[in-house]
Amino acid sequence: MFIYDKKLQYPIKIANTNPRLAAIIISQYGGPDGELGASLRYLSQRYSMPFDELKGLLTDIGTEELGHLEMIGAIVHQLTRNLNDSQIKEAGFAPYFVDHTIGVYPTAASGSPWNAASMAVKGDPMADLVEDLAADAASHFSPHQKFQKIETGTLPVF
Amino acid sequence: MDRQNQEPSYRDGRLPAMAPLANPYVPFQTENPTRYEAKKGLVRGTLFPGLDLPFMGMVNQYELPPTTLAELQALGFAVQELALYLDTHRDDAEALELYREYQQMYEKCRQLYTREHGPLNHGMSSEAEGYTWLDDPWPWEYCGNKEA
Repeated sequence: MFIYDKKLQYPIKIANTNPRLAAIIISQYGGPDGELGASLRYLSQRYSMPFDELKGLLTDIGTEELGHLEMIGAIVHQLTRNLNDSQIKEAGFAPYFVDHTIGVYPTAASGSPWNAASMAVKGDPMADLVEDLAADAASHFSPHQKFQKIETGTLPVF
Repeated sequence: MDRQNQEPSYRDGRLPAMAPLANPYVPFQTENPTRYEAKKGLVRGTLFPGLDLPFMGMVNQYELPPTTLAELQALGFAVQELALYLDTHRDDAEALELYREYQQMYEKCRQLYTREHGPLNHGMSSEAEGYTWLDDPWPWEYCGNKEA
């Protein structure tokens, strides 16, 4: 079972609100390579894993990902504190705000709500582990880093 | 090209030139890896220098505040990292010893923290007056660091 510990894994304390950044960071919460998908991927794959090492790893990492999910939620929440009308309209936050206001909703920045189709659970150890490698590689380039590149005009072509 | 002088390799078979792409490269963590101390580990995002590859060279320069909560977070992270290592290296006696040491340090720090700030979960008994679970702030709030 799961027990909630009333603390974050790492301190989150963001002095300056930034709704434009929040509208992008939300992808790390509920996007195709976000923390919700990561935790459900690992926690769902473990049932069919034949080795104790893998049962342990998927359980421990999947649980840690839930802690990451909470940190991303905290980031989005703090970035959207005390917004005024012009911040919502001018900062590119309006499309998110019209559906969710300042709620933290598991969605991709591009607008699709979180979807289990962004992960795979095949019941085959090799297929699942290779899926984990691919997911981990995709998540290394996080929305925040992409945002920094957009802001500095150095976004590479993929 | 004179193939006689080359070491035998996959090129001698029928695999296409892009065959190496079919092999994911997974570096195995060495036995008995060196470790950061707990607070540095939490800031770097790994307890193990051998796994510390900052994305595009961007290193987190944040310094943890000198609070009991930050200490607890760092010790909790060290326990978690050693647990992940032990999941695949259960016979590493030195790592197991360190894991247990960090668990004890975590438990001591947790007692100190909960005495000041209330229980972390419903499984912890508390001698505080009244039901303190609902006391602000919650961890995700801007002032979630209760000592800051």
